[in-house]
Amino acid sequence: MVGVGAWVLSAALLYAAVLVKLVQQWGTDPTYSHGFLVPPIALFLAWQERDRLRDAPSRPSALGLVLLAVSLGLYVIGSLGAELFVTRVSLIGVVAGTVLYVFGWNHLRLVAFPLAFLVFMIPLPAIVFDRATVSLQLVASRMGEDLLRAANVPVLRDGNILTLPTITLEVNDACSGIRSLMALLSVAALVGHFSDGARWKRASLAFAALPIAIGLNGVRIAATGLAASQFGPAAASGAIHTASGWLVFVLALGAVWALQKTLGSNAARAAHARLGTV
Amino acid sequence: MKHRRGSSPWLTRTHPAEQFSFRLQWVVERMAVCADVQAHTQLLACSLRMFERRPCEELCSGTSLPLNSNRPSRKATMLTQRHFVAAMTGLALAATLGATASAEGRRNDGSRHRGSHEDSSQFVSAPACSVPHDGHVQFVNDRSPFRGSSRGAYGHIFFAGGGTTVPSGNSSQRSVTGASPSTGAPGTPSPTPPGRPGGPAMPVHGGDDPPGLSVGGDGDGPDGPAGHGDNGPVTGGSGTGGTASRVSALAVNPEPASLLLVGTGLGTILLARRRARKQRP
Repeated sequence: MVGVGAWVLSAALLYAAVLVKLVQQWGTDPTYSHGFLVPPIALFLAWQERDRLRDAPSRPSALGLVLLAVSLGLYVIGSLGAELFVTRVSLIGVVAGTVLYVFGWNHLRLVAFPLAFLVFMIPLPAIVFDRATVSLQLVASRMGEDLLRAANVPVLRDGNILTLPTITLEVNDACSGIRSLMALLSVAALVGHFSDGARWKRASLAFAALPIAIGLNGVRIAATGLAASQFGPAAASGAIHTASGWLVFVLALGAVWALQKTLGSNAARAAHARLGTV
Repeated sequence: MKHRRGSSPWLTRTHPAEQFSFRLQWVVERMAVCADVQAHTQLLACSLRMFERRPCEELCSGTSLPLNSNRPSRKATMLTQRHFVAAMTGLALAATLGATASAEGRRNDGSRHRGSHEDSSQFVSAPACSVPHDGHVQFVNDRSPFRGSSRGAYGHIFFAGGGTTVPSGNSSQRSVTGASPSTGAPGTPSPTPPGRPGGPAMPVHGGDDPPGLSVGGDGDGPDGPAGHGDNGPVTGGSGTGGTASRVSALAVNPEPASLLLVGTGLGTILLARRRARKQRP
C-alpha cells in the first residue's frame, strides 16, 4: 500500500503541470471538452475487471521496466521539445509499464482497453489536427457537391467553397466534422468494447466510425445547401445549423448501433449454427 | 553444474574481482538456460546486488531456475520485485524531475518570452505577437490591406484586377462563417482568388456586427466595389463569394461541444444496456 501511495505521489508530482494544462484545455476548447468524461469512464472500465484482476496470477515482466523507461524518456523529450502530446501520451505509457512490471501481462491485458481509451482525452498535435481538418473540409465539400448535383441543384465548387445559385457556402474548420468524428470514435470504441463477438468485429466497429462520421458530415453540408437554396440563408445558420450537427451525430450513432446489431446477429447466428451441428 | 543451498560456490571466492567474474558468469549461464522472463528479472535484480557483498545465491534462492530445485515463496519474490521497482522508479523519476526542472529553469531564464506553441516553446527570443482576444486583427495604421481602395496594398489585385466585381449596393448580402452561406447574385462566381482551401480563417477588424455574421457595408474607398469596405471579406485564402464577412475562426460553432456529443453517446449506451438487462430473463 505504501509502495502504491509512493508511486501515485511521484507520478502526480511529475505530471502535475501536464495534467493541469490538459484539464485547462478541456475547459477552454470545445473540441476536447469530452476529456472530462474519459478518465472516469476508463476508471469504470478498469473497475469492472476487478474480479478478474484479483484472480489473475501475478507474473512480473522485465519488459515493463523497459516500457517505463521509454515512457519517462518520452516525457523528458516532450518536456524539452515543448511538445505536449508526447508528454501526455507518456503518462499512459508510465501506467502501462508499471502494471506490466509489477503485475505482468495478465493484468496489463485486462486493463489494456481502459488504458487505450485514455488516448481519447489527449488533444491531437496541432500539426496533425490542422492537416486532418483541411482534408476533412475538402472531402466534405466534395461530398456535398456530389450530393447537391445528385439532387439536381447546380453547384460550383472551388476548394472548400460551394457556390449555389442563391447562396455561397464555405465549409470551414468548424464544419469539417472533426469534432463529431473524434466523439463518434470514442463512443464507437465503447460500443465495440461492450458488444460480444470476435475481436476483429469489435475493432471494425470502432473503425467504421470513421467513414460514417465523414459521410454523414457530407450529407449535412449537402442538406444545409439544399435547405438554404430552398428556404433562404436563415436555414443554413443559427440554431438550426447547430442542431443539425447534433442530429447528424445521433444519426451516426444510430448507424454504429445498427452495424453492431448486424455483426452481433451474425455472431449469434453462427453460434446457433454451431450448436445445431453439435 | 549443480548447486545446493548451503554450499554456495560464492563463499569459496574471496577476492572481489574473482567474485564479480564468478557472479557474472553465474548470471549469464542461467539467463542463457532459462527462457522465463520472470527468472531474468530475478537474475537482473540479483546481479544488481553484487555490491552488497552478499551471496547472490542466497538472495535469489528459490528462483524458478531450472538448475535450482527450490521454488521461491511468492512473498519473497514479490518483496524483491517491490524493492527493485521502487528503487528503479525512484531513480527514473528523480532523473526525470531533475532533467525537466533544469529545462524549465533554462526556459524561464533571462528575459525570454514564451512562444506560441502551447505557451511552452523555448526557442522564441523576441516578444511574441499579441493577438487580441476579441478575435479581430488590428491592422497597421488601422487600415486593411484588403480594402478596395486605390491606396490599399492588395485591394486592386484582389478585388479590382482579379475577379468579377460584385455589383454595388449589395448591402443585403450576408455571409456566415462556420456555416458560411453568403447570398449573392445567381451565378456570380466568387471574386476572391482561390487560395489554400480550408485555410485558417483570418479575422478581420470590422464594424459592429455579431461575430461570424456580418452584413456587407458600403465601401468607403473611391474605387472600391461595394461590400468591401471595412467589412471586407478575408477568409484565409478562400473567398466567401465576395461578400462582406468578418470572419472569426471560432466564433460560430456548427458542431456542438464534444462533451455534449460524447455525453449523448454515453447516454445511449447506458440506456441500451439497461434495456438489454431488463429483457434478460
